[in-house]
Amino acid sequence: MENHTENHRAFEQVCLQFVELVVPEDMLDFVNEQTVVDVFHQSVYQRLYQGKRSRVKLSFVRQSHGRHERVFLTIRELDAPHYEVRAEGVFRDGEIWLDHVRK
Amino acid sequence: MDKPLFGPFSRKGSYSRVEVIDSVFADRRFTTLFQEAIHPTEIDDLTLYRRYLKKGERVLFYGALDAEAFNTLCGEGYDLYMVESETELCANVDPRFRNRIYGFSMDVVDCFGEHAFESLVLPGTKISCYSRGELLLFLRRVGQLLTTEGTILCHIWNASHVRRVAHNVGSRRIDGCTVFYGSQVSGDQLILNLYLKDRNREKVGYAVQHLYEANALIDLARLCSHAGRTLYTGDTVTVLEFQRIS
Repeated sequence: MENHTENHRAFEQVCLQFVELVVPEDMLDFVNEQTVVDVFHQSVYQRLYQGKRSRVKLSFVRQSHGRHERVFLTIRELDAPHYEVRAEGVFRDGEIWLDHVRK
Repeated sequence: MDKPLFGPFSRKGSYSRVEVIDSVFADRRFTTLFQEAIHPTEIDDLTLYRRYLKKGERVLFYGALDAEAFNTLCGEGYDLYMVESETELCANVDPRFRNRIYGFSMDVVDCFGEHAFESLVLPGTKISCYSRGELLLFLRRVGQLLTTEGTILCHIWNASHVRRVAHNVGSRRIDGCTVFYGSQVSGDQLILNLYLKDRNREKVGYAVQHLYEANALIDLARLCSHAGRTLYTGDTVTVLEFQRIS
C-alpha cells in the first residue's frame, strides 16, 4: 500500500504533472489536501488545485488488493455548476499512470 | 488471532506460511465466490429491477451490480449510475457505460449536485455488510444523494434460511485454482471463510454478513427518519424499500 507521507515532495510533483497532463489548458496551483469519508464509509485522499479557469480535484481510492490506488481527476470550470470526471488513472510505484480520459 | 475464522480455515490461518487476508476483494477468486454468495439466486436481477425501477428516474447503485445486468438495463434506457471503489468489480461493464461508474460518493455529489437521485439501490445483500452502527450512519448521510421523495431499495437474507443452509463446506475451481469455502452462523452474523492454494501461495480470507430480520431493519431505519416496507418475501430473501419520512 502506498504511503503518501514518504517522499512527499516527489509525490506532490507526480500529482502536479498528472494534473497538467490532463488539464493542459489551465495553469493550476495546489491549494489544499484532505482526507474525507464518503456516505459509504470509503476514505478518500484528495488534492485540490485552483486555476484561472477551473478547479481540479485529484482523488485517491485504495484498492483491497493493495497493488495500486485508483485515481480520479474531476474538474469544474469556474462558471459551471458541477464537476465532471475528466480522467482515471492508477497510482503505483510512486507514479500515476493514465488509464483513460472520459469524454 | 481475532479474525473470524473457524474450523479448518482457522487451522490454516494459524500457519505462518498461510496469508490471512482481511478483504475478499484482495483476491479475485475470493471476490468471485463472495459476489456469488451475496447474490441470491431466488431473485433474477433483471426481473427485480425492471419491476421496481422506472425509466426516466435517475438511479444510483452502491456496489457492483452484475455487469451483464447493468449493461442490459442501461441499454434498455434506464438511467443508472454506480458507485464502486474496486476496479476489478467494474471490469466487465460495457465501455459505453463506464462513464456512469464513480469511485466514491463525493464525486457523485460534485458531478450531479445534492439530492440528484430518485432511487439508491444496494444490489445483492450489500446492506448486510453493514453493522447496526454503520447502517445508522449510512442512513443519516444518504439524504444528500436522494431527492426528498427518493427511495432506497435493498434485500436481505431470510435469517431462518441462512441458519438452515450454513455450515456447508465446499470447493469450486476458479481460474484454474481450487477454492474451498465454508459458512457458519454466529449470533446474528453469517461468516464466510475461504481458502486457496495457488502454486506455493496459500491464502485464507473471510467475510462477515450481518443478519437482519425485516422488522428489525425497519425499526432501525425509523430511528433515522426512514419509513420501510416489505416489497417481497421469498424463501431465501426479502426485498425492502425505505423512504425518508418528511
